[in-house]
Amino acid sequence: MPNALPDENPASRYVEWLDRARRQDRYAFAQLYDVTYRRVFGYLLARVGEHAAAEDLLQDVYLAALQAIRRFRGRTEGEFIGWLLKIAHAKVMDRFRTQYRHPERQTSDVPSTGVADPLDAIDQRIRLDEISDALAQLTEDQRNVVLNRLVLGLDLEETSKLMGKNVGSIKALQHRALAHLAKILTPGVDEHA
Amino acid sequence: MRKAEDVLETFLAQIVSGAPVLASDSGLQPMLQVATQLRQVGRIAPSPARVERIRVDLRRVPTREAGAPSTMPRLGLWRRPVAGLAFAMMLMALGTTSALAAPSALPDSPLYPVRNMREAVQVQLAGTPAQRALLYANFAAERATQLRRLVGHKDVAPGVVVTLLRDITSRVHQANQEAKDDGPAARSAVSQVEGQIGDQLNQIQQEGEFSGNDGAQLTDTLRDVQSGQSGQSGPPGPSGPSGPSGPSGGGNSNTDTNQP
Repeated sequence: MPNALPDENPASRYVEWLDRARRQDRYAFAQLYDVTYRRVFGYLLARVGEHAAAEDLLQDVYLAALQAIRRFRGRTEGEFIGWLLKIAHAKVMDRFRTQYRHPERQTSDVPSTGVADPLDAIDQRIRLDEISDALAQLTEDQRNVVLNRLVLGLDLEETSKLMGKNVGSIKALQHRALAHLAKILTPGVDEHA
Repeated sequence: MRKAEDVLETFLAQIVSGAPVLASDSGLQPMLQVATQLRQVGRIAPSPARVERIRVDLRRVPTREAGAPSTMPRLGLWRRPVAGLAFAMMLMALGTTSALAAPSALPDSPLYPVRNMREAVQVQLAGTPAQRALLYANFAAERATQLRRLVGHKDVAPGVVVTLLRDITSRVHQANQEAKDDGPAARSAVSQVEGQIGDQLNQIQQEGEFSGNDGAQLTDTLRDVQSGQSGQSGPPGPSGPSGPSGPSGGGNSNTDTNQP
């Protein structure tokens, strides 16, 4: 089993990992998982607002990605992340639809946020709920911009490429998105102030 | 003067990089607060145990689920019903072919059991003993005609003669049983068919094509048919010289397991 890749250039590594993952090389897919799961998890957590649910969805996303990697044609990290986020978005929407149809199937009230202090965990959970609810009120582009910039930590250029928009549009979108979120999350704030 | 979006971007870049944010513009404070919170969400990690469990699951997922190249051609969604319809039509065609071919199937054909089953169903559906008697007699007559034709073409597969003759005997016997319970009209009709069967078998015997087991079976069947025709047919038993349930030619006398 090869444990080291010949070229340590990150871009080349991605190309090779992706090529090998497409040929069902589990080691290569595990490498891709290791370098991407945090960002995908952040996206999921921001969307669903529940740590345990985000973990469940994380698993769903990567299993779905493993099943579909053969059909993925991208060759760069950005393309791969973008593809994973599309899968993640679909999984989130599935979850929302299920919750809408079966509101009785609520997840456990026990906080599972990975925080040691239960009170901190409850605070964090409440805040996560509020953030995910607020994100749900944005337009899709606005939501994607703030998720890409702040949750995933991408820079302007990366976000611009991922979303297929120019940098100016990204700046305008993130300004509007944050103003909207501030209005929702901070009582007394005027969006147009 | 810098646009508000550019100013915000400066601070956001600091938040993303983890640098301390010193915003003098109080109007931006709520937005930067939200941005900081979102950045914190991005820093929350899944539990290490869960990360490892997913990694293990990814290794364990079977290849089929993992989307390995299938040996089957991939069909688009719209093609699946078409393929299903084609398959159903193929099955129907096969079923129709079988159903059409079964009535004349010979004992060495895989469709012969279908023929027997089909006859059994026809008998079950018949309303009166007279109808059942005539059906049995006709089934026997069809076999006799087939045997006559096979002998004429000198194209008889091993085992076919014995099975056909036994099935003729059993059907003639059943025809007589059913006719016995009905009136003289039924007995007359069956007797008429038995006469035809007897003629066919007589001709075969005169041609002298059969010897050994086949010849003995032919003689036995002919006698059963003629005795039935004369109203003496009774259930063939082991005490008789030979018959459907007696030893004959070293073969299993009860070969017609699907008989009606």
